[in-house]
Amino acid sequence: MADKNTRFLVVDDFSTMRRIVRNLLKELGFTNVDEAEDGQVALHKLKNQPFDFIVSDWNMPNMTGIELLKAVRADPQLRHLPFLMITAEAKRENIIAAATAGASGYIVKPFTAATLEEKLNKIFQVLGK
Amino acid sequence: MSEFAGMEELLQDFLLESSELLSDVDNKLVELEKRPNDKALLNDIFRGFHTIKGGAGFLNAAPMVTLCHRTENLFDMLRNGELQLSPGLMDAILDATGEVREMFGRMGQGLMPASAPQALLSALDNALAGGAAAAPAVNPAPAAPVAAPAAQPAVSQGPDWQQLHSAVTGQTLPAAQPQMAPAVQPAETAAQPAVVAAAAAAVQPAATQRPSPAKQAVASAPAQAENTIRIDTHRLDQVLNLSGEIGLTKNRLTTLRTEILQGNAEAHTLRSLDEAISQLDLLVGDLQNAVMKTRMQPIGRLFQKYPRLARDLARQLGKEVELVITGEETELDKTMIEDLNDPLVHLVRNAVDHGVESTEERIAAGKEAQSQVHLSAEQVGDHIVISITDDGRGMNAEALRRKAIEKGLIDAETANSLDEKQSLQLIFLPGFSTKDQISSVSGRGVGMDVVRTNIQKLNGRIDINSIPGQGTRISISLPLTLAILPVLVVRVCNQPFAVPLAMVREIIPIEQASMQEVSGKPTIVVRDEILPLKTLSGLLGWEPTQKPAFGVLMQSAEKSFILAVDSFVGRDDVVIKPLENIRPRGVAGATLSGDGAVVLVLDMEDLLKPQEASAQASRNLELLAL
Repeated sequence: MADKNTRFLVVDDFSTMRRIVRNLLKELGFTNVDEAEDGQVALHKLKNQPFDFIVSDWNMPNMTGIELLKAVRADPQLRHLPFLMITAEAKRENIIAAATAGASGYIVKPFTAATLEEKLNKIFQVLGK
Repeated sequence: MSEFAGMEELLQDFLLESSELLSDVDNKLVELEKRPNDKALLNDIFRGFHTIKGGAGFLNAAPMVTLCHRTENLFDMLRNGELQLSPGLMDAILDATGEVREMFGRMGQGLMPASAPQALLSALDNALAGGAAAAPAVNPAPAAPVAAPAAQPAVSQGPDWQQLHSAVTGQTLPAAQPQMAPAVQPAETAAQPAVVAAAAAAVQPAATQRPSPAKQAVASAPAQAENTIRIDTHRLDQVLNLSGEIGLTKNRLTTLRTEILQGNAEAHTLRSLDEAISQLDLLVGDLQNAVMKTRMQPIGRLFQKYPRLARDLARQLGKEVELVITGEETELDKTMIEDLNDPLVHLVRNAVDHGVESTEERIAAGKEAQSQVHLSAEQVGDHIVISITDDGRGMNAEALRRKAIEKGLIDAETANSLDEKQSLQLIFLPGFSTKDQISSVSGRGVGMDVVRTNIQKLNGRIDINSIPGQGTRISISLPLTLAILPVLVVRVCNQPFAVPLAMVREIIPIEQASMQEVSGKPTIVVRDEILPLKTLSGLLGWEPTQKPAFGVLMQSAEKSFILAVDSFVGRDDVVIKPLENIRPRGVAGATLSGDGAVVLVLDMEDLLKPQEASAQASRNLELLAL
């Protein structure tokens, strides 16, 4: 089972959405959650504080989720971090783009705590191997 | 019973944040009309709808998801150059934002939004289909609304899109897990259809044709009572700090009290007491300020609704108007911002409808075809001044006077005695409307008199300046906050009264020699201005106990007069407590003075109203001639 102390970073420009994700994570027992309002802020936080898991929206100003993903994967300190991409779209090219850039998972809005849990578990499973 | 049970807080957050986002989108749409190919703008608008859709999905507001989804797709095509913006399309998009705003209104009342009008969805679908460039949006096409295949997801480019969509949206376990594996198997299709598509399909049949599409978004949307406020954490910290310090000072005072009660009243103890109290004085002042600051919001939140309003109205009237906004960062008390909306909507409409000439008239007068209406806010001292300036035809004093006589608001004799400035004030009279035909836009039964009343309720003032042929400027001057009222405390018959300092222009001594009688009423000439003299005791209906020694030169809206009082106590910042159950004439409320005495705060407007409100005409005359 996943460590309930996993430190999450939730990245979204819409604060309501950050709150939703935070609440869903809380429902699943994860209370160690920090937030960032776009890729740039997220990257700054990632470089200065320890995190175990990134949950990021795709579409954001300044630095999008996919740009953040690429930056994370290119950083030797951060490249190992699991990265769950949130998006409203389920377009083939989006999914492929996220997968190619190295996303650990992909979740489509709106989702329930159960869906999120399932996606997280899938990722933890892969990590555990 | 709310249809969002268990999600109320989330709903509040969503509505607050999304409404701001939508206003932003509205303004960007107005911008977009000028620069239809601006990629950054298209991107921002796309993201706006996208974000709202995402949030609405979590709230299960399917109709909103459907509508935003289509609009978003439209912008995706626009930014990719697959579609060109046409006026018809623009109308459909603007209608869509209006509709979203209506949905916010419903959600604000705890109701699930109804489906968007079928005509609007069809118009968006048509545009998405790449077909009819000019989607007939404003007046929905009578063509059968069934035309658009509703259940089909809006953009279907690849044949397996829907499969992929359902594959990824799958909520049950066997649904695809497209993690890591670069090859996403479209084959692993879950049985259930995509959430969005399903929602759309479910809602479609219920779609009812609403009588009128959301045309006047800003005005018609039900007023959402915002009962939450966003505060900069820095400001909250300040409040916390100050209350902490006040706590410390209180401890100090408690210690000193014990010492004094024990009989230790030495000089240095008393000095410490004095110091502690001075410090408390300072801290409480700071705390009041800091608390007040938490209620301050940038007025831009309000202003950002108007470019769209002006644009829609101008288009409807066939005029070219640009609304220029400055000073949107100016801060004002939250409640005032809310109460200012109606008056400002009215003034912006007035400027566009009455102030600005038709394009032909402008060209004939040698002006630019496009007119500018300037909406600005700035802080001047402890006041906020908001002004609306147009470069239109200006007001004609003579025409105003004629109109007022025609309407029976004043008689010819009064009209002749009015100067230019006083004539402009005529528009504030109840029942005054300068246009012969009441147009659908401005003549809604709400006149300038209501605007003025609303501004006065906020302890504000409204002034007009107009130059015929060059334009009109209406300025509203407001106190920074309603919570704390600066007053001048005066004394009459040995009782203190507080009058709002905002109305006080100056204080003059009353000398018998300077008094004159004009048509039987006492007046004083101050710098060539003849001002009526009213004794406060007289207004209160009391017998004067002594001859008034001082006059307070007061100004409210357009009328100035001198209020005669016995003496002064000084100026003070007070918090008005309303009187429960009783409402004496001319009294706004009560407050406590420094020595614990009750001081009545006067409502000058009310006090000045003639007691026997007999004929409307005489009242009007009074209003003007005062």
